[in-house]
Amino acid sequence: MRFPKTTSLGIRTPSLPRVNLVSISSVAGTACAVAFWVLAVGAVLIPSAVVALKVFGTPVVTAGTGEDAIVIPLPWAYVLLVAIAAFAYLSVSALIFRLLIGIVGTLRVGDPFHPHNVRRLHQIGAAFASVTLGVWAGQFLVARFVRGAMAAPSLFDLITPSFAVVIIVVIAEVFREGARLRRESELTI
Amino acid sequence: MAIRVQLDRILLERRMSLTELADRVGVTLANLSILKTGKARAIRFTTLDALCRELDCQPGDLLVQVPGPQDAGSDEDPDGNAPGTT
Repeated sequence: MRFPKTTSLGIRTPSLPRVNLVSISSVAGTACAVAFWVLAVGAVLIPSAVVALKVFGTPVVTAGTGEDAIVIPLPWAYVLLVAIAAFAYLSVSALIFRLLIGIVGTLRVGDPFHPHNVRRLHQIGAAFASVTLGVWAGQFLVARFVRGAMAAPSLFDLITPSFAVVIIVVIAEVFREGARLRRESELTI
Repeated sequence: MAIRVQLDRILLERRMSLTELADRVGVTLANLSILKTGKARAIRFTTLDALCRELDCQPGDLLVQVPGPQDAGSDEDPDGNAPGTT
């Protein structure tokens, strides 16, 4: 059975825009730049706001409920811990996007297998692992020492981020081989 | 490397400069220098053909196999840059 072509029915299928590598890298580069600046500014503003809230405001923590509840001012140690944790998380995340911007830059000029990208990918893997472990350790400590604040994290929560780190390391080694082939190509007269 | 490129000797015999040869062959001076100094990893047949045509010689005149241990790419720097380049 032969079906009629769509054009004979007067239906015109819209032509989708072609997406080439340059436009993908441009979008990726713009997205990474926006994310980098948002995280970098946040890494400065959020810890400053937390400290300013303690200095100029009266942050309190309420223990208990009802008539037995007691209100105590938030200790400086907690405030500083939150500020340092927020700064560390946001600044390392900004670093990851900064490294991605460098990789996208080499992609835009058509030289993705630059040797520097091997180092950048390893650094991204290390930063991602440190952020993951830091968040996990922070949640564990808060759950351990601040009763009722949050549930303790499970070791199973580290499985998916571990996969991501392994994938990044493998891709870095692929790029290392690509850099070697690039070098061979450069020295082929 | 075990293959030596005898470009110096043939240029001297033909009384030609490296710059002039680069212009005739259509290879950059930098690449010819890499070839002359033995840093090249490979040579295309098209380049070898052009060199032999311009120097009026055979590939065997240009390329000589020198018996001895082969280096395993030790001329690379840690960043993977080609030798002699910045």
